[in-house]
Amino acid sequence: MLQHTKDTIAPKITQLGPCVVLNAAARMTVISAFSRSIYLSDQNGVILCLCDTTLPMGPFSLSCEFWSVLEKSLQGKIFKGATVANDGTHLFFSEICLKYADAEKWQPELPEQHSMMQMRSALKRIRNMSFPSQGGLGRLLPTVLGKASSELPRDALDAALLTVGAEGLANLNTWFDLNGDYHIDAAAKCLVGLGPGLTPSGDDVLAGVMFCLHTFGQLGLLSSMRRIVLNLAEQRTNHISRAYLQASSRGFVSSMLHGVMNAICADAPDLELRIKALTSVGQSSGFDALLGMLLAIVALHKRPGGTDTLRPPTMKHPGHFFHHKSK
Amino acid sequence: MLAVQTIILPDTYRDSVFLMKLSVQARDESGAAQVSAMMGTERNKELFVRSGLSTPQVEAAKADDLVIAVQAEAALLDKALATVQQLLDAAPKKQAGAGEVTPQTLEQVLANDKSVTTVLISVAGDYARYEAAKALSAGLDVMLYSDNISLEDERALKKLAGQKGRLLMGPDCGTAIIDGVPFAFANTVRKGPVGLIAASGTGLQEVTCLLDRLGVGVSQAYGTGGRDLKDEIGGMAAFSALDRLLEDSGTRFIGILGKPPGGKTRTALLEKIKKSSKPVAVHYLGTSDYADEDAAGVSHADNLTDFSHLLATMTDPKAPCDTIPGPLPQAAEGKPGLLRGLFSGGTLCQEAAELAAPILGSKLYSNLHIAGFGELNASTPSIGHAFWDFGDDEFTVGRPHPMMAPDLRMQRLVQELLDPQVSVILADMVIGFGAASGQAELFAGAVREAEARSGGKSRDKVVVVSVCGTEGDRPSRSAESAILEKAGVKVLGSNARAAVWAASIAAGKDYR
Repeated sequence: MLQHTKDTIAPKITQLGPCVVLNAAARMTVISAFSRSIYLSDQNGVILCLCDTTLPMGPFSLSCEFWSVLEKSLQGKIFKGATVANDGTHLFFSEICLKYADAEKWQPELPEQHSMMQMRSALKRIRNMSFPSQGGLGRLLPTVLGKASSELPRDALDAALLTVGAEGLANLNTWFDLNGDYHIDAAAKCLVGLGPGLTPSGDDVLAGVMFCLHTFGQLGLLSSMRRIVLNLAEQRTNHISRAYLQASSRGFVSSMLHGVMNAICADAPDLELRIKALTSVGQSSGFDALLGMLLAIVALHKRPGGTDTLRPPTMKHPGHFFHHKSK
Repeated sequence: MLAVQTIILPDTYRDSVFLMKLSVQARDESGAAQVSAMMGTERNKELFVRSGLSTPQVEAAKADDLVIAVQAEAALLDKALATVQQLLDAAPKKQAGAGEVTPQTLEQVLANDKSVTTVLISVAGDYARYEAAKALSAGLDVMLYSDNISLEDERALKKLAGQKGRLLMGPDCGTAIIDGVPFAFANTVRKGPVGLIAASGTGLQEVTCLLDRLGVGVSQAYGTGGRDLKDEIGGMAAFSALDRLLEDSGTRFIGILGKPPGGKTRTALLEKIKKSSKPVAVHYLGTSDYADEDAAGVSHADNLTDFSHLLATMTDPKAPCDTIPGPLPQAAEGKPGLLRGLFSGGTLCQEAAELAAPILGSKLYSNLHIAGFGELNASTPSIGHAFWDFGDDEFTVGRPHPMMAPDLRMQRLVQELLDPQVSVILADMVIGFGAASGQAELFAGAVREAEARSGGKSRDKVVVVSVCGTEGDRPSRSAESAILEKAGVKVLGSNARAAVWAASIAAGKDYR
């Protein structure tokens, strides 16, 4: 067994995401392995993401120090279907054990305070930015910001993706204008499970919207959107993405997206840098979620009552409105 | 006749970057019309139907299945599917680490190799400072390629480097050549007696390449990061590098270049230069005020080309001074109009803009925030005589630097060539280590595309390029230049020469 001694560098789990549920005695299996992360799932469908500390924290992260040592130790032992045991304090990968009992719980902070003037200024700065050309729906961001998008579809599939995606965004905007279930249902039907990525691009957009609604305490909107999106997600998207959608509806997303939201609320000087960092995550996930978040911010600004509808966040931490139930 | 086949991988998740690369690589290698990889969600299955890529297998796929659809001419379909399969098979070996493990941490590298002296760090800014501190504490020199490091952190790291007797190059340091080894963006240059210290990456590349073409070699070329000469940092890296060059037996002459230092730093640096046992020349970008240097008898030059000549003549007073420009194009056959500069190197852009300004006479615009210039940003179109640095943060959000990924700049090239008000395009092309290969082909392709789209009208415009590279680079400078010239592009010998020549055409003035 790999021991953590003075003389050896041993990997250990140092931080846990806020949605991590570690059921002692539950047997987990590896559902996917990437170079810096391993996704696990138990028989109840609970998702965990064991990952390198250099990756941003997320709702399901088990952030592991000395990843490269772990990777070397696990050579040939990590494959889809490999089992991982949990004794309540450690995870066991074959003969490798990773202690998690001492890990800290990561809790993203909500923006302390914000003013509409700061947010308007932040939006203006974002409008002046140029955005990367990536594969997902994030490419529609300029249109959300009232700018022309010059990007052409790469092929027929891409054209279809952008058409359906644009329809989904239009329905989202109409929903913000008119309320009612019809348009959010239409938007969710367009977007859930749509597009490329481990978490499909459309799911990331919806996650960004729900995260924004949670941040600004828009309980009524969030409640109906959550019900419809999560219901559709049961059938229409994959296991991992479903879990992330649920987390976003409770106000939990990647630490980088939390950082961008905080920077927007404070019109922080590093806003552009934070967006730059966010949009370099994965092929398009960060960018897609940013699209959803900004669409919601812009739409909330336009709602009847104007900017008054945005109230300073009242909760100290996310997770306030909806309590997670393991399936 | 196009046919479609699909590969379904049940309960499979793959990294989206990998899938994107797989699609592009499989399409390019096999000649397929389309290769698309997505999860088999209901919505994605509808997309496959809408785009004519659906098959019975796709219809049966589940949301947790990975669907790869290949559309190709019937004769190419098997090859395309085999290519996809090959790429899929190759990936897990690397991911699972079944073979040799590439070291992924500094500790692993140091455990396996005690001879390491320098580490290049290129991770996100938040982590970069920790990695840099770790490396300095382990007794290594650091080239910090990462940006997004605060001034405070830079100062702390450079102080630590000083305490440890190490050199911290950066942050945002893109070029260095140490003991003949190129780091990040650099070129294959001959070895020789000139040691360089630069607070500018492309500036350093331009000077090392021009020296190489003048037959003068480089002993060491240290980058310091663009802010090192500010008073807040006090030139800590520049002073350390200068000490090293003064001790280095292979260095007989020293050149220092960058933006003008802060007042205190400039004075301190000058004092150090005055006491130097080796001849030192300086070039501070964008200034012609060298009163203190003149008073102290320190050689200086006004642009990178003249600075390279100056260094060459220091090593050999008889060194030829007319080889850099090369033969000038026969005549300035273009007509006066607007000039548009499209650059991948920030220093090269600024140098060109400042050299062109007095020739053009009217107001210039740039996204480089140059004093006296109108402001441009990435979301605005060009205005008047415009100078764009495509390496600016605004253009590199979520995408590689234009030296690595020239596509955005090429799109803009086509756009500018179609603008009826534009008469001259000026651009740099930085080749060598770290840079994209085949840039000249892309550039020539963009020029041809503009010709086709304008019905040949864009041929009236003059496209002027300087290629920053050497004959030792692969592809070589002359090979890239030949491709450009074949497409009707005028290739000049240096950035400064190209800027002056292009501005002269745009202003309707005689270059000579």
